[in-house]
Amino acid sequence: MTQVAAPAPHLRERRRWKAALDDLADQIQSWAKARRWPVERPTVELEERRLGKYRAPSLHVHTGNGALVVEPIARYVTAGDGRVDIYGLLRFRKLLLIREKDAWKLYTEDRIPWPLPWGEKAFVNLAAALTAP
Amino acid sequence: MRLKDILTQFDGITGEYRICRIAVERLYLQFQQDPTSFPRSQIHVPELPRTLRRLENTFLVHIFALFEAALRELWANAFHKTTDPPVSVLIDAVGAARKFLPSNFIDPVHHVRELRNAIVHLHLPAPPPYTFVKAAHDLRAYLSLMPRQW
Repeated sequence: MTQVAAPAPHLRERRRWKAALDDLADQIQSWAKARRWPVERPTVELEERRLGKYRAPSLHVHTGNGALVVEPIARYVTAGDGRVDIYGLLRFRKLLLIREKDAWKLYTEDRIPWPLPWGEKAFVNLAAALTAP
Repeated sequence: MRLKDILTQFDGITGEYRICRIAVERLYLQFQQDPTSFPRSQIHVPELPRTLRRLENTFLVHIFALFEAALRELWANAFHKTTDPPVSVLIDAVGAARKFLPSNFIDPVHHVRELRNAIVHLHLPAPPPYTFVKAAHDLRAYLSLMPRQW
């Protein structure tokens, strides 16, 4: 009988993190599609000491008011289980999407929790806030 | 204190380093082309390549001092802490207090700290080489994630 070795913990964690990023990108993409906002999905290369090099999806969402970028930053961050930044390209306003116990939470750049829980409503709300003139 | 001012000071030190490096390199070149161009009493030739090698260390110690001072001020004024931890603890503690800082920004700062320690305390084993420009970049990257004012 052939024994298959379990993947190393860092590979398992990398897979989990990448899956979370894929799910997040799918989710945002579907919300954008519902509003007929064109979306590009380039992959970005990340490197973390504990995970090594890996590729992950980023998003460029073209809202009516300007482009919004969703960019994965790192799995290993202080006080969280992963970080994705969302920013408006025009004014470079930014929000931090932090993974905490398998759920995403939004924070401002000053680490103040965003008033809405992560979901479609929050995404539309932040898209308006980040691309407002 | 404004973050922008600290980062401007960082850029100033990096600029000074470049000027000094170019100046020493040119001096060395000039000396090689014409050994009589400087009176022996003013410049001791073997010191030139050594100066060039040590320039990185001198500036690294300088920029790390600025980094540590900024961090201590941040610790006291932005995070309202009254403790005075060693810099190794401070780097992690400020990172934790600021929240959500990627480890990629914290680990290189520790590397620069170890390098600074090896330069200042000569008995310590030297960590792998690291250029001054890379060290300045890594310290700056860490600080650039801090609040804009404190």
